Amino acid sequence: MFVIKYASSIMCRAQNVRLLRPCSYAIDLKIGDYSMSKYIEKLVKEYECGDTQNVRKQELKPIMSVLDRRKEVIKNIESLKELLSDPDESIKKLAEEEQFGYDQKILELDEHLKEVLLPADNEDNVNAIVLDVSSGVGGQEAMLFANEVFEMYKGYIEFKGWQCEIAEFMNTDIGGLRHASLLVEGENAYKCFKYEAGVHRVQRIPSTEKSGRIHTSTISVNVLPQPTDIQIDLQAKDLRIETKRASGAGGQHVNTTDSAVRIVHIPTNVAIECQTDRSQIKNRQFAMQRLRAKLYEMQLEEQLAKTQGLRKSQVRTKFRNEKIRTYNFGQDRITDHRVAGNVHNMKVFMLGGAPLDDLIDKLDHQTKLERLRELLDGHK
Amino acid sequence: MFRTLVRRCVQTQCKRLSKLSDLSHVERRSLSANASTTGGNSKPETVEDMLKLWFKRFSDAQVYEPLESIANILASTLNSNKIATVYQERDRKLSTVEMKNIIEMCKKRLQRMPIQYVIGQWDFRELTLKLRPPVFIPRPETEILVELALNDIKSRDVTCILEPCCGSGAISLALLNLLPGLKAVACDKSSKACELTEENASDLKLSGRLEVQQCAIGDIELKNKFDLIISNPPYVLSKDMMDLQAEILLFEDLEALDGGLDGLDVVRDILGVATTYLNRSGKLFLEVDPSHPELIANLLTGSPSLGLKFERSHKDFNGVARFVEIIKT
Repeated sequence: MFVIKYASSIMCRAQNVRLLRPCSYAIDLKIGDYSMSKYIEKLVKEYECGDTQNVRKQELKPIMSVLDRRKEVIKNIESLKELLSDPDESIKKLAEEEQFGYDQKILELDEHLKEVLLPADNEDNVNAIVLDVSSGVGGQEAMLFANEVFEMYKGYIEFKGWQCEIAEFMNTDIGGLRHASLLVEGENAYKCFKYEAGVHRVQRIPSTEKSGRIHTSTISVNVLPQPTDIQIDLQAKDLRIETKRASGAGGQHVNTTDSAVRIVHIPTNVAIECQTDRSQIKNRQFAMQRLRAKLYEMQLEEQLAKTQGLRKSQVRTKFRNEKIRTYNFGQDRITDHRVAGNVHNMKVFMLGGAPLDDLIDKLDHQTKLERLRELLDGHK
Repeated sequence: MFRTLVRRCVQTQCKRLSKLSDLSHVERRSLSANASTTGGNSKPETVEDMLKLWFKRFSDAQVYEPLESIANILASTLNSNKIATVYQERDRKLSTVEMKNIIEMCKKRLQRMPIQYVIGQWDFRELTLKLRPPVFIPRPETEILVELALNDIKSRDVTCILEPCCGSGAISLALLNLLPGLKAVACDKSSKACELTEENASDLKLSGRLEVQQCAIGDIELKNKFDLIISNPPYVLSKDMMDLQAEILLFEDLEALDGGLDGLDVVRDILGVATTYLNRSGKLFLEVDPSHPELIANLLTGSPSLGLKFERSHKDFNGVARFVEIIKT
């Protein structure tokens, strides 16, 4: 998407240094048809005007530091000028070599500049999320695939060195998964996992299928940031907590392993159940975290509906029911419908390691470019 | 005398049940059932084989929570404290040693040993505690008792707490684990309880802040006073003892449950301890039978010499008045 114009001029310089014009080192990054120089100029101005405590100024700092380093390199190139026209061939050659090094450095810095110019999502610094995997259309086969995707994410969490706790795990008899919920914590957890939200489609001959026909089934993934206590303040009076120990005397009279907890949020009638932990209070904590995330999502959906003039169901469709990826086992191919190109080697991909991480990186980069373009549209 | 009678009575009942589930007899039936489900494999090999086989055996033998029992035994074999692990690793082949251990554990469960004793541990709040017979197994309600104390300790200056009837040490250890500045004294009249509390404390690296004393409540002698006393004392009414589950009657120390005629025998002793050892405005938190809060409130109003005031009762998850909060005046 970026076009770096001066690349060709560097080639020229290598052939004939005397063609060198100082202005060829001006920033000439492009996105589509828009030059970014104006945008960068505006950011510099914004930075110089803002006072030091400004949050915006902190955001701009990385961009400014790259620009400063770039200026430094250009200064060095300028000072080479005299040596380049030196009559002594050996001195001239040394200077040319040095110049080549600086040109490389500029290229590197421009790459870096592209990265730091990409706008960050407000929620990218969210490090605690709730990850839901549910089976969709396709019965047992969908449930089997849901379990495989769940395992893939567990692999990915391990790959990233994050922490996770299983908050819900509803399995089926033959090794399938109806629904599972994971509480994930780790740096950039939301930034990475948000691209996994949506409908995942699987095409293959199910292990349960006798006649060898290819089935298409779906599972859905939902990713919610875990809100803080301030964002979602739960009142005790709005909650009804239910346990299966309710009947009978309870306390010292009973010894059971049943630690399931169900919490109902009375005003919205949202109910969350948790029974994965041996401690009842931990199950309650997990259920509360998931309830908070659920209410936060509802709140966000409502806001979006308001600002974009959409109905709530439309927001839901737009952000959750989109088909994002197809796993074709017969062709050993994974197609993400948001980026060009396929990924191959299903077995390795499903381990949740580097291939998945690369795909997520690609998605992140592309999304940021799109947002940058939107920003530039505003500065046209 | 009464306790021996109860025990004998339950034992014969359970033996009858165990006969119903005579191992070799069930084995034959379950194996044939298993063969039909796993496609001809007559020998159980995987986690799933064992899950199905023993679910059926436990069900046939009328063991309480048959599925949970075998799932917890398998999870413990897989070194996990979550049942979900069993379903995730259902295809894993078990080694001969693992098989032997599982069968050993299952046999104990068939004899109605509580699952917590069978696998030797259970979770209490954030902790995993070692558990073994006959030391009382902490119940989930007590996690809320800890929560009540926790909120109180955070709202004022509390440096040292006392826990009579500590059992496995669950309450003290849960609080010490969450509050790094806190110290605790725990006591129990059973030497086995005291040993287990000390073992758990050392496993959790909390022994430095916990002092364990073996003594009956009535004989307690301490150097200093406390800001808070917390306890889950025996509170089951004697008349209710016969109705307890076979698991409890056969394996748990009944002295940790039996609270006498009105269930308040030990509670009364603890009130006496609170009078002597609670600092002014210090608090006493107790887990009790739902019939107790009213009785305790009346008792305190009737005996002003104790210097204790009934503050309020608190409900458990099921909306039952299960805890009392008392303040020293």
